[in-house]
Amino acid sequence: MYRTQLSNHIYNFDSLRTLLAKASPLRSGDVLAGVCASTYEERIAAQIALSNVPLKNFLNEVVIDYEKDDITRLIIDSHDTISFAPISHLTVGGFRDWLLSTEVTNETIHAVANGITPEMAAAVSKIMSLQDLILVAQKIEVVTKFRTSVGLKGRFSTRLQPNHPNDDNKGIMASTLDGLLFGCGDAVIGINPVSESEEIVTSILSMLEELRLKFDIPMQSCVLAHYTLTKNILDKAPVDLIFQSIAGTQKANESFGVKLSELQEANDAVLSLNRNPQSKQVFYFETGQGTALSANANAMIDQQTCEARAYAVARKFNPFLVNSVVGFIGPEYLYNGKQIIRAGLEDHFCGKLLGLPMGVDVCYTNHADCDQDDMDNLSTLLAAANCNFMMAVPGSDDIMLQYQSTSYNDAAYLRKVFNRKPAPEFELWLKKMGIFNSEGELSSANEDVKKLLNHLS
Amino acid sequence: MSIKKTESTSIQRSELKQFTNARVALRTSGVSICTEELLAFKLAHARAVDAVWTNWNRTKINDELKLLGIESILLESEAGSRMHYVQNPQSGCRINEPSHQLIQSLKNENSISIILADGLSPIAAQEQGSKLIACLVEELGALAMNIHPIFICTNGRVAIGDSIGEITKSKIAIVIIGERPGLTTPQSLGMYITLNPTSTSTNANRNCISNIHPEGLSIEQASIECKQLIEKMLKHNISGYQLHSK
Repeated sequence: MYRTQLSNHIYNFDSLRTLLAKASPLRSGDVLAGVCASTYEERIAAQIALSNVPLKNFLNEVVIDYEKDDITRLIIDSHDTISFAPISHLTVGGFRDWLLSTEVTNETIHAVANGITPEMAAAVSKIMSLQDLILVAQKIEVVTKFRTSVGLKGRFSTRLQPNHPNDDNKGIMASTLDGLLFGCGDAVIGINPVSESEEIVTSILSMLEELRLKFDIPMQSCVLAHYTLTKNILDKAPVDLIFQSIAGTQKANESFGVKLSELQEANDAVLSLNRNPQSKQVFYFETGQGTALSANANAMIDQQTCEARAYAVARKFNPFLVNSVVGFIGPEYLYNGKQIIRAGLEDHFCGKLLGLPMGVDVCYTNHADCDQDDMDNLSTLLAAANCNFMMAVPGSDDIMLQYQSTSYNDAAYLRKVFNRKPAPEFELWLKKMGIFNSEGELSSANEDVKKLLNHLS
Repeated sequence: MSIKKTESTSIQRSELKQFTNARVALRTSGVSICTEELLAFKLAHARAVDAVWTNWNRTKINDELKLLGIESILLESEAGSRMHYVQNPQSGCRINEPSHQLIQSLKNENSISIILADGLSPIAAQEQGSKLIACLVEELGALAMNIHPIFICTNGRVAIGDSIGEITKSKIAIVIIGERPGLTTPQSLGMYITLNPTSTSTNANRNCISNIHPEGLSIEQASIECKQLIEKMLKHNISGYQLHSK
């Protein structure tokens, strides 16, 4: 039982799960699930009570039973008490102050990361302002390596997302070349396929492999099919990264056909291709608040805590990229620009705090109360928070998934305003190709660029 | 695919547009999208948002159908308001009590219920709905089944067909619904077909024909595909993803 006594009222919260839900800043998905605070005052009362909860309590009181949920088991069984020691005396409120203090640096946070559970991360984020979420996240550098190094200070990367409504290879290649000419694609060139067909996925991967080898591009490719499909084509397709959408409860993952043991097998199978022997990072995960509720599998946990629990799954597999697709799910979970902006910053912060290479798909659907101005806000705030990567979609308009994300131009804008460079290996290639001039500015008038375009003929 | 080449061996960046409808090769000023393209994007978004929030004119649809000799009945979901509907998907899955009263005498076991729902694009349902229904009713005539009056339902989701199909004891429910608008078009309709619809039916029990609009799948083709799907469902006594393997 948790309690806050205010002058006019005593608020009781029967469990940590309830307390986390009631302390969560307002969002439509928690209203829909019936777990949110009933008044603004109750929400702040919950935040006050939560701020006084010792971090140690999170190891004794779980939000779903250990016996019933494999993610709870993963969180508890993998908790590192030695890493936890420096923060084990803190309350949630004390943890916020600790994170914000100038003595706590990237190194200090990395040293305790394996002692932080997803619920601790979610809890502290709920009592943090947007400014806090940015200030702490920008301290944390999570670098992953494949053919490019993603997440270095002073760098900003993109997933080039050249989707096509018919999975047409030439259509995908046209958008890919246009993106490369904008300096995009240094995190991954990732295609959402319309069809879950082994032939089509293999064909797209082979086409991108040919492009990579022909122009000696330091890049990774990925087709975002279900991991069971990707695992089946390893003998015939050049698979760099294996993709999967994941959620924060066992039941939600089961509804996507995801089992933790199988994720491990898939990870090991891709590793055996030996395409990334240096870091052994071959997973690309996507997540998003509201996913568990959309599968009727939220177990009365608020959607932001569920989201943080998905990061426990990601963390287990030492992924190359993790991406919160924050506004894709629709207004029944995140109603408007205000809710999407807060959720994007929470996800980025929680992921980084737990040691993940976080990117964010800054996006919205047309039935959300949101527009490009909100996206400009979120992308600018995330760049200030040193977000590892964002999407790069031609003209922000994904003609396959029918939603709006960040564009090639947005990436160039963020690099200019924040003086960020692409991943170092990719930057060298861009200069070699003359796509960037020696000052790192976009340029397009030269022979090598023409060669790239002629790849389509 | 043949491509125009402005020089003997080189493709210009603008020619990328031949290969995709994506917004490639946008003109820029500095790194930013030029004014014309920016405003074209904002116009497409404005139309998509209007498509979601416009109140449709059901009387107009009703009148158009009447001219074609097709009766219709106007129903409402439990949502009550558009705002509630957008935030509570479940509220669009059942009809409200007065609507229930209107149709409870229509029981017929060898029947098809056709439901036109506004979905997330009332504009699409209003502009394309009666044309698609006229074409579909004609196509389904070959099946020798009773077709109920068309149920025109406000604030409906796909599952509204289960609620209506159960009350009318229909063999088949066809929900024609405005699809969530993208920037390409706000005019797109989807068609969801369920065999033996009941309130326990799920998406796994439905077959879908999507992307029905003037630049996508034609009304005529969608109607033919719908009839063929229904024939297959009746033959195998199954609908949904299991029908794919039949």
